[in-house]
Amino acid sequence: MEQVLGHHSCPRSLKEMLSDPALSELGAPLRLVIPPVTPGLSERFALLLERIGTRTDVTLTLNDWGALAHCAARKREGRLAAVLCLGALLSGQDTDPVLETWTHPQPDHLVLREDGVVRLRWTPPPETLAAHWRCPSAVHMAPLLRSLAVEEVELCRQALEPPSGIPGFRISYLPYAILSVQPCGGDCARCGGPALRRCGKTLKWDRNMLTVPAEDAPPPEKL
Amino acid sequence: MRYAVPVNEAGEIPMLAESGADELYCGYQDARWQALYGNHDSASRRQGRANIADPDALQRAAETARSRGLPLHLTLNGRVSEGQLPELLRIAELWARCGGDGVILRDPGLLMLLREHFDFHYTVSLLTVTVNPEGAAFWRDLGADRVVLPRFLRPEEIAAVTAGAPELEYEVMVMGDRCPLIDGFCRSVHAESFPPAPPEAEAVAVCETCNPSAEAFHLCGDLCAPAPDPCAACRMDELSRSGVTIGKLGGRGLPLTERLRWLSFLRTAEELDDNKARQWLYQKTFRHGCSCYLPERGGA
Repeated sequence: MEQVLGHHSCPRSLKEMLSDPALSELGAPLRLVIPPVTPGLSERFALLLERIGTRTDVTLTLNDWGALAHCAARKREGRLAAVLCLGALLSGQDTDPVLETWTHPQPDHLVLREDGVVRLRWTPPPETLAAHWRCPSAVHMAPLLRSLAVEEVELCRQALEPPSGIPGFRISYLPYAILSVQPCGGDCARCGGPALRRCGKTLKWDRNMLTVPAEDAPPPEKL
Repeated sequence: MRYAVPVNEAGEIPMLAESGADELYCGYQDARWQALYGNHDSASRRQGRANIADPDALQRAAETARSRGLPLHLTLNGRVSEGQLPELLRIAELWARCGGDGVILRDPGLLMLLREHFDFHYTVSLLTVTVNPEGAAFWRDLGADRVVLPRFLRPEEIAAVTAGAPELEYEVMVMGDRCPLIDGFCRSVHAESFPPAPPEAEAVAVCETCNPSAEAFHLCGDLCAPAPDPCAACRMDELSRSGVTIGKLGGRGLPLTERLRWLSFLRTAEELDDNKARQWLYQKTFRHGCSCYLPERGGA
């Protein structure tokens, strides 16, 4: 059973990861989710890479292009053997629950516009637009990802079904959808924000990350 | 510091030039794009009037900017999917025919594709959330000429990033559009919404749309009241020392008067001797307390 350490966007998670005993345990596969590596985190990230060395049972889920490029270079040099995963913050997915309502019939609304009172009447979105909402950017980035030694792409379960696969890459699905991220204010006690609902769904703060929880997200289906 | 200012139409360019703009940027969304992707998923994460709407208007904007000696950059920094690439190539082709100077984008795949076909000046949007020197070098190696850095970096962090690829130009937001979220990581849809009409009102028109709602869709607006007129006038020296040479003004789609007021303020503020005078000017100009753009010094 794979053990998961870290967080997509919380800088503190890197410090926590380094002090977690699971990081030193051999035998169990380990997934390390790395937040964007700002200059203040670079020393800890370097230390982490030294700690995992050439272990082959580690997957690194990276959430900024610089950290990914750095790890790709280390792999080329033989100093890193971990599986590299394109993190959900980079895979380019539309996750807003509003899109689900736009793909299903809605009642008419009267609204005030500059040109007066207008009746907004629901029509299906163009097929091209619906296809865009369902297609992560990682799909057309495949050649670049291969050049960066990426083997896995992380996607979110979301209101609109993501693709079941991207040729040449393993897909891992988060059991929730990431909707947004707040900058770290450095005060963990005040991390997160007010309770929010969006299009009938209750959003959940996970540290500085705003998510649509699993119970509101359907399982992935084929396009 | 050079200032990059948004422009919505060619007619605005002379006044922006006279008020001290050094560069311009614009969006483009024509009828063909709208037929395929509606007004919600523009090529530039802005809707409606924030975009130039037809090829002739785009040509006029490019010609007017050129006649004033101002580089004009086209924003193609929306989230890109594979099916959009032919349309984005079409727009880039149009932009090349107009003699456009640069393109602002966020998608590394799109950058690689455009570089195969066009010799634009390429700016990597702040939506890429480039936060380390390796990230700057990554974009340089893909062919970028400039990186716009995210709002949450402090000047000392910016200096560390710019050191990774000192041959690039660096730009940061210095006025307007201060999103409380990391917008490069935000997937909330920015759609136009309108207030509900009274139930007894008579509709004068019917609009067919997949967004038949009067809800506000800007998630950031649910999180906090946006700070008015956010500004980095007091931090320009720090930014310059950290390697930043271009200050970006937000406000795409805002009335020209707002953008001119911001630009004029920044130009006047840079002539002042100290930050106390700049803060006094800010409060006199905008008639409210200061709203600082950058994180505090030495914060988290």
